[in-house]
Amino acid sequence: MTKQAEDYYRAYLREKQARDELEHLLEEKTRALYESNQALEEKILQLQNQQAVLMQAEKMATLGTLSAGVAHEINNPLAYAMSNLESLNYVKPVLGGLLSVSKDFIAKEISNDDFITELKRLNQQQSFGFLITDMDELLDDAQDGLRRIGAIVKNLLSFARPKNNLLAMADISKSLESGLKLLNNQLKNTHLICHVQPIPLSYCNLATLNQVIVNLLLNAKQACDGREQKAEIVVKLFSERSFIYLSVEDNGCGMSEETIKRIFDPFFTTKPVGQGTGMGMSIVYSIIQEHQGRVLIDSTVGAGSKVVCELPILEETDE
Amino acid sequence: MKGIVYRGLEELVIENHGMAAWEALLDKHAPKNRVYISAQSYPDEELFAMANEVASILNKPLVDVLRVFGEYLFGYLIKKHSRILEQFDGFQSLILGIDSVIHAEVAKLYNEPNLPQISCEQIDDKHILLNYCSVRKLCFCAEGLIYGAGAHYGMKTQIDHQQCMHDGYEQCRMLLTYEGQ
Repeated sequence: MTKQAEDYYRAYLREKQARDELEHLLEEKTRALYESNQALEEKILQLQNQQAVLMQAEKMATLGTLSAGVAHEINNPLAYAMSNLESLNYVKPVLGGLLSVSKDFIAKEISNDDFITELKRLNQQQSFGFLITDMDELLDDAQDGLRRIGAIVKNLLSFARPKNNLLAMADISKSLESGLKLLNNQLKNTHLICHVQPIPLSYCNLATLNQVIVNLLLNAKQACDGREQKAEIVVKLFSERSFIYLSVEDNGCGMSEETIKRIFDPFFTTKPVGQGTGMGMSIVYSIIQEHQGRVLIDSTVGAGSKVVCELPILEETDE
Repeated sequence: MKGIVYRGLEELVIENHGMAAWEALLDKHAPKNRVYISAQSYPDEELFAMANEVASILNKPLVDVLRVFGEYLFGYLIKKHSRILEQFDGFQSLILGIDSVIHAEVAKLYNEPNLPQISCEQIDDKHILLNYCSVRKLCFCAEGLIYGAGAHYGMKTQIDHQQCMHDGYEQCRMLLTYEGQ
């Protein structure tokens, strides 16, 4: 090898060594970065699991708040369903007699005269005219009452179900409808104004949005509690361009700047100890975030608050 | 293909045929001023073209050149990543750990999306059935790597390439026979 070639080769070896050392350094850093990333991903998973548990706990706490109202909601239809069934029970002997005498007559075990006599006796006992007109009504009302109870229980179950990831193309107004039904009793003394426009389907989780609506309505209602003027809550659901807007506005106590700043902080609450989990708005925020949306708040102390959820209209492929 | 493979080839060519040979290969088959860095990805075509060129110069079949390169590459890789070998207690555990250990480490360091899929089934103490599947179809290079591993652990290794992707199969099947020398 000539001197020049030798120098050239030595220069190459030095350059190669430099590359090796730099690559080694890069690999060490990459390995460390990869391991940190793995650890972070594990933490994120842990946090997601904890968040799911918290969300469920908050939901259960909300259910506690709702329970008295829901019990009342169930009690009314239950009362008239039971009363109607009792009335039907009262006419049961006459119906039984009618069936029995008819059976005997068909089997020719009694004469025409005896049959008519028995019918007259039964008619005296309980007017057939009354049976004809009222039985249908009694049965229909009882059925209606039981259907109402069924709907309330269905709404409760749908609200209480642990958060699932059932994302689907759906109509968000269904969540609003279900939330309003669930809070029917809570809001009976509130002047509730609903402006619901037809909105397009969006890729969403109706179960979690139901939780958003219940939380917002409960907050609005509680903000109005104890105020002099009649509570008024305005709910709007509409779409504009590529967004769906859900807004809940109340004429309650309103929030200070400080409260607005901290409203999405987990465990932040302005309610007395034991009356709020402080997770409601934090959960609203995370659910709306999961839907790629945002929560806007406008509030004035003493005048009321307006919470707007802006949700982009998503297609299944947008995920 | 990751630069570390090209760097192995660079070292093999320079060691055996000198810098001029490597420069000639670069001039002919790589873009101007190409410098290979292990963590960087480069077009597969550069490697295939260089391997073909080497086979042509040496007047040897491409499969033999790839085997020789694979065998050399094993030595080059363990020189750079000796710590990986600490996880194996011999040839057998290394082969059985290609996918779970070696490829996991490669994914960690190089983020390589086109790693070959390798599955192994131990038949007995002296035989492993290895399935190889890769879009690059570098099964002969894989053979060389296995021979390199055998040599490293002082094993006498034989590979029966029972079916090959080059013959239209979805994956190569190789029966590895090995015993201590």
